[in-house]
Amino acid sequence: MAGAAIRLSGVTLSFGGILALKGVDLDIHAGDIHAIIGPNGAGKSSLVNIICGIYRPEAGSIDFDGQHLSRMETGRLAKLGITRTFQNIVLFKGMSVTQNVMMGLTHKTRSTPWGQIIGSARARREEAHAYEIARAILARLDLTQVQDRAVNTLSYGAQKRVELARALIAGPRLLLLDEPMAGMTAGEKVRMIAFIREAQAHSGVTVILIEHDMGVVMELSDRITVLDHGKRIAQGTPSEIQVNPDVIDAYLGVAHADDGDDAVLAA
Amino acid sequence: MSSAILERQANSQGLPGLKSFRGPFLVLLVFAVVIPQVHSDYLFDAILTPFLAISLAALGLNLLTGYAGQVSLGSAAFMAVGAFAGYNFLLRIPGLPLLAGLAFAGLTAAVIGIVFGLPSLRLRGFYLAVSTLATQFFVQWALTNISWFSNDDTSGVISPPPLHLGGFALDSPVRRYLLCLGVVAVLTFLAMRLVSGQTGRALIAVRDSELGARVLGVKVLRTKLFIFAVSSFYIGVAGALWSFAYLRTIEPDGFDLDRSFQILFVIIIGGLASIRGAFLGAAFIVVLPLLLSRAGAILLGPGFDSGLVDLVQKIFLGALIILFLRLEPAGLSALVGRLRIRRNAT
Repeated sequence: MAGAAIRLSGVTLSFGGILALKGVDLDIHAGDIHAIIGPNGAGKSSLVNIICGIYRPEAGSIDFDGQHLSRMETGRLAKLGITRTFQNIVLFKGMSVTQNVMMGLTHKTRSTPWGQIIGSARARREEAHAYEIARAILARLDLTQVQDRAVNTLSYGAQKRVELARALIAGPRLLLLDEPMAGMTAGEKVRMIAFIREAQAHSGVTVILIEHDMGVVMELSDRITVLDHGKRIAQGTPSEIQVNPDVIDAYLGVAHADDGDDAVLAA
Repeated sequence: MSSAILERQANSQGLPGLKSFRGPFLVLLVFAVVIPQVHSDYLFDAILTPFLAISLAALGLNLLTGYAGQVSLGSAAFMAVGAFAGYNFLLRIPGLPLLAGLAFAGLTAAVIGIVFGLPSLRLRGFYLAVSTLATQFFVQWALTNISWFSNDDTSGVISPPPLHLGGFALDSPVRRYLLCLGVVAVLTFLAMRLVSGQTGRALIAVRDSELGARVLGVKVLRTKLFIFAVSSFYIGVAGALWSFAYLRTIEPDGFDLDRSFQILFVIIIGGLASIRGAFLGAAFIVVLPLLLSRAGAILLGPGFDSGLVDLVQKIFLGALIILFLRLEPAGLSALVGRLRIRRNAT
């Protein structure tokens, strides 16, 4: 399935009088890898949570794949073809790796609980199909060796990959990656970049990427949106963003100048 | 071998995966064919029948608490609903077959379970547990104070009708035991099938991360109410069996908060989110005290102070539980799983 475009217009959100997002416009083209960057507290996670229906925007609207929505509903995301990974890994620790990945097909389940109990033809077909494609996607992400292990016994980096596998199994049209490289070693990052690239090329899925590692962002992204203090201060290609004076100001001029991002930006 | 252990851990925490039903079937065969050869009314009436009823109730609670993560302190209330509903259906619908009466008992408990499961849509953990206490107190109050439920019997203790299965009178301890065994075996099989499929995974997903489950399209609210209903059905049938086959009286007093806690302890000791854990835990909690008091009687000879034995037994059991939770927090089920791996490895 091809990727879908998503556009946010004038999205505003506040927490107890503090504006987290001030009339943010975001225009993401179908099939792009689109990064959202900005210093801590810029509103990146708020934006993702609005797209996921976890927060309800006070103003603004969302157009997803031609549908005009005043807000998203978390329970309908999977049906719309939107999947995500989480900044703090959200896996089901009571299940094996394969079972976690099979959960990514939940919204396609048609069999009833009773059908599953008595083993109806549909239930057995769905179960076999889910198992088979879960194994296939685990093989693609180089997780075959750990596919039957309890998911919480895996290394941090491997757990991040299981999350990615679970997000990819249903063939999403929009994939939200919330800091997919956080806490990874340099080697793991290189592999993760390759996996995301491969997934994108494989299905043409639109990717929204939130990431602090500017090297990763510049390498992966087709386009970048920069947020600062809840406002969009720039949008463009990586090469445009690198030389944008507002962006350099935001990174150099605020308290986060010492975290190394500026050096990478300038490079 | 280490990967086998890890695999087993994943399974013991939730899903039997693609495992066969051979082991459970062999156990069933022993209980259905071999054990009934023993001629001891005491064994069936005082040990095995209550063991089966409590196992079934624990299985129901484990579906709700172990798999789906919804803590309940109202199990005894659902047992009471099942017992009284079964009694009233059999009383008021002449000619209703026993098994239909049991099914109606379970369905009534399921409906009550959905009603009292509604707070779970908003509350979690301790808060939900406290709200389920309302079930416990309300049901006991209603059954005690609304005399219609006990057919206006003033004694407060009512007897179930004579039990028949087809034309077959269930009038001996062994026959009542076999009734329980049959019902428990069927419901256990269905539960094993339920937790090993997509629905079982959805239950665990709701337990481990509601947000993660919702994002993937799990209908969290519907899943919670569904498992409240299923769990209450199981516990309701268990209550009916407890009253009809074991106590042979029906009274609200036996279904108090102590009973709810007992069933909760059964699944904690036996192992959360484990089918066999319900049975192992029930054996530990129900059967061990009986064996201890028997042992006490034999050791001390006739004329022993039964109150003292009772006390010693409680201390012993309490110490065992603490020791056990300290050494094996994943329950008896995990212990058995490890022993089996060790045996296979050598």
